[in-house]
Amino acid sequence: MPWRGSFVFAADESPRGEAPKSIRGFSVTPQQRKRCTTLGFVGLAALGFGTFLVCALQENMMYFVTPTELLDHPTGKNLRLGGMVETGSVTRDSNTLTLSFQVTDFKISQKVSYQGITPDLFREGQGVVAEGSRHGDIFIATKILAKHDENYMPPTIEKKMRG
Amino acid sequence: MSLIQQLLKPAELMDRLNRWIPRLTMLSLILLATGLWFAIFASPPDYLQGETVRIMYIHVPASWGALVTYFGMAVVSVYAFVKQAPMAHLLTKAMAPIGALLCLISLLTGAIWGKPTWGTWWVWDARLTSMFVLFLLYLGYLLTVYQLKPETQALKSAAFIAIIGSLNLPIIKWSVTWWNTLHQPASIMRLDKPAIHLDMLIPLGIMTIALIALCLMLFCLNLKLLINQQRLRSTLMRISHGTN
Repeated sequence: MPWRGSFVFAADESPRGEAPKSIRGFSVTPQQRKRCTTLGFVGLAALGFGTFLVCALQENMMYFVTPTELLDHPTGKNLRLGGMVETGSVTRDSNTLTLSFQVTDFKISQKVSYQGITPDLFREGQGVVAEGSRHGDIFIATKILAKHDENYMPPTIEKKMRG
Repeated sequence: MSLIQQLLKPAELMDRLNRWIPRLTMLSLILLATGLWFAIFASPPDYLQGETVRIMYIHVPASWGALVTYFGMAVVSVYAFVKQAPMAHLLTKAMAPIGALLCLISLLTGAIWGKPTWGTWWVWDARLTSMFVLFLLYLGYLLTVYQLKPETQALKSAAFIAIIGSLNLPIIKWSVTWWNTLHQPASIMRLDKPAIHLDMLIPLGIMTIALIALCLMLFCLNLKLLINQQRLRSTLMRISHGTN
């Protein structure tokens, strides 16, 4: 068959007939070694560039700010606030139907106010990401997303854990 | 000849593929049936998410698969570039559509999972964005090898998409650790013990192995197809040169 052998490993034999250097059955000819080095340099350069890019764009990569970080931003700026919904802090005003709760990063607590429907998974003791802006002491949210943690367990086990 | 060269000798490779395809098909069917039965019926709902959690049994194996396949493509492409081995390029080309499909499944099942849990189909947080970039990389690779002519040059160029693009893989993995994301951190692939209960971890494991078997079978099928296409092309070339 014309495509056997020569098709598969055309350049494994060096034109000058040099024997490839061998380490436990895996051998490289000098040209192959040169390609290895080139690849290594290109890879290193790409890694360096990638690292620089990632470091430079750190702030943009963050999907939300914590309550502590929120205070570093000016009021009125539209951004996303993320943290844990404090237990016992969720109330809904019966007249205006405005939802009020506290978001905490376990350092400080931020009051959030929201008009609208929340996702099913929004509840006390679970994570939340609120999009909106801070006005004075209150963060006025225009959108609420529920953030859940990485724990998965059956309801019976969770009940046992809660005691 | 080294072990790799032995494995990639075309005639023997075809024999090996022909033997493994029916075995892998049977294996995948059995594992998928078992896994899906566990996933849908014989596993508990989640204390928080309820029945919605069952999408995990497809989303997680598909996501892992997309990452592992791209890594495989990168490793084989390095070998192909250093050794100048056309057959290795063909292996990479055979893996690509499967990885792309797994990535697409991950994105779509993730969106379907996100809507009832997070409250949105999509956000541009670090995890979701980097998975989307992975999908674009797959598309870039596929477009290069299927559209650019001549094919030998296309395969060589596409190999760099596989190699350089693999830098996205650690970004995907650690995106939930390095940055604030909506997507939760890792439940299993971490130094701590798994954050997922055994009653859910076992079905997840079965579905993962099932998907591996299925993808290996598809890979063998695709590789067979590509090798046959090469044979056909070189035969046609010989014939056309013969008549000139």
